Amino acid sequence: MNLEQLDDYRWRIPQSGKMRVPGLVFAGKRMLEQIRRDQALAQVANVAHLPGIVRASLAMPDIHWGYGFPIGGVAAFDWDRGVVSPGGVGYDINCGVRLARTNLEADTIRGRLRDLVDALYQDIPCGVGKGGPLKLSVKEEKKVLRSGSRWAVEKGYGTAEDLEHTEDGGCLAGADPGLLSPRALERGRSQLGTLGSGNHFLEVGRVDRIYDPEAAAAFGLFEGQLTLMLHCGSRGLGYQVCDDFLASMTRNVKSLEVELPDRQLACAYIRSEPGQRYLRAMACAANYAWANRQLLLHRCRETFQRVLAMGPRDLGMDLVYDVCHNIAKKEQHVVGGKKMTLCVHRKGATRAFGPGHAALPDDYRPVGQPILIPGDMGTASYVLKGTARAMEETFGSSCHGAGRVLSRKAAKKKSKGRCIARELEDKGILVRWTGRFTMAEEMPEAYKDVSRVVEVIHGAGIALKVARLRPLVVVKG
Amino acid sequence: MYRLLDHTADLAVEITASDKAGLYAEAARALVELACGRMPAGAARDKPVCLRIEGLDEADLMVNWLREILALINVEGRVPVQVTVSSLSATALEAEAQLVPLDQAGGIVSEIKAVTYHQAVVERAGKNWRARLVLDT
Repeated sequence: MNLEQLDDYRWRIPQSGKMRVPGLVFAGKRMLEQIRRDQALAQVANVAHLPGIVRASLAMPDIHWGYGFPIGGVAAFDWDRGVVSPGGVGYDINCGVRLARTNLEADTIRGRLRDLVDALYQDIPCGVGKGGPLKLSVKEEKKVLRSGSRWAVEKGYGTAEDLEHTEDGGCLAGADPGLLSPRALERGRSQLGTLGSGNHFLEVGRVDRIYDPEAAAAFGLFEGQLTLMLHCGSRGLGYQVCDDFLASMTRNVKSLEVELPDRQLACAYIRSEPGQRYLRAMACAANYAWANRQLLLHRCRETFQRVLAMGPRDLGMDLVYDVCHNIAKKEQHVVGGKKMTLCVHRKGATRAFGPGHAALPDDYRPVGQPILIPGDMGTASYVLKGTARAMEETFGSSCHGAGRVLSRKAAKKKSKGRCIARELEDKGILVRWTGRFTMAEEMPEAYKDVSRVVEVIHGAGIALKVARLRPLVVVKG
Repeated sequence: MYRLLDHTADLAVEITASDKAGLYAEAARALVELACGRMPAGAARDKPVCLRIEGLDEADLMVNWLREILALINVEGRVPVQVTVSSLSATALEAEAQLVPLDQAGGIVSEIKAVTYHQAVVERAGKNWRARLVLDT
């Protein structure tokens, strides 16, 4: 793959063949050597073939080989002339991260961490196909799909402040549950309030460094603080929505008269009936994911209060923010000096709106959107803030995590004969998990160094560092 | 026969069989083993179910076929233990499958979210037939 270096952090894939725009990769030089080892850059170029793509096919520094779109990819399409692609969102629709702060200094509860990890593991349903605390009727499930986090808060699983600090208020407009298949609805009925498996997790952490005191204060973060981070998505319901619409778009893609370099890029024009149907179904799955994370936060609050024997006011577990990183959104951006309505696909990428944006809550608007970047379970996670530069260059988008560097097979091989849980415990991190292969597949070495990924984003000015969090307790499926 | 290929984020698998009908049956077996950790032992008690799948071509047919197998496991909680492909063309497949309940099969060990189209291929490989697929995990 031919790459032109633009500066220390930007690399262009020149437009060639049937590419409609160039590719733009955010990466450091050493990181790029790693990225070149698999097919992620070819996927960035493939996305540039899609109709209506605007400015460039973008790749964040956590990019890695996905299916169709790369993971860590951002692509924006003209709402009137462009396409929407379920593969550009991914199977786990609105997979995302939420971060809650507390009033507590982490050091004051170190002696209680073992009780806390055991209680969280007991209380939070996790693991493959694991059912949740609720078995929804179809009628109730459809309310969840229409209302997202609002449904959860109305049921008492959270507060109005939680909604203010959730991207889009925890509810995408236009959701139509009537478009979901019986299989999708069936999968959703029993999985609300569950963490799932794979790279999803619950993490109790400690703010170990503040880079931007003003933004940290706005987000309610202070050094030494105990925090809670959740990473999960729309569970089987979201997978099914993606799969159902990908199948139907694949059947109809010939009618678009578009040559696709990869079948997984199957798409429909945004303004067409199939395109609109997908967006309304995707909104259902996005709302399910937000309700899911809201329920999990509620359950965590209860567990913390019980284990630490304190009330909600003393605990102060308020939501800092909730971001989604697998989504397609209707957004307004300025392109070539002209305001355009776009469908921004973020597949393994986080919205990163800069200061002053109307979509941000009042208390964060002066500093920019909080961006939550989890790393692997043994290193660190970061909180950043959105910038005006992100609005100009990346449609207000940033990276979403560390990004895998080892395949699951390679990770298993590398972990042979080692006890990853013990290694983490030696570093002061308590882990509980369910899956037979979870610890091997999710070992810290399976991921890029999150600090390097964040340095690229910070150096490029796409998002700026606010705080670093170190893990103390991790629960995984 | 199947083997795992290297893929950074997901699971890439290559399946080989001596004939095309066997390839689809072997692909189903591979998916069950990857999801459940092993092919469940013991016989099914219920009557076999008949599965009819269509596709645009052989690769699309393979993806749609495995979608159905995955749905049986993930949605219906039933694991196909014996699969016989009785009729096959480039765009359609008919098969009979013996099913056992998921809990009898030991549950799901590795979550497979979906069978993707990414680089999906069904092709001749010398005297054999070969399929390559990427599974989202």
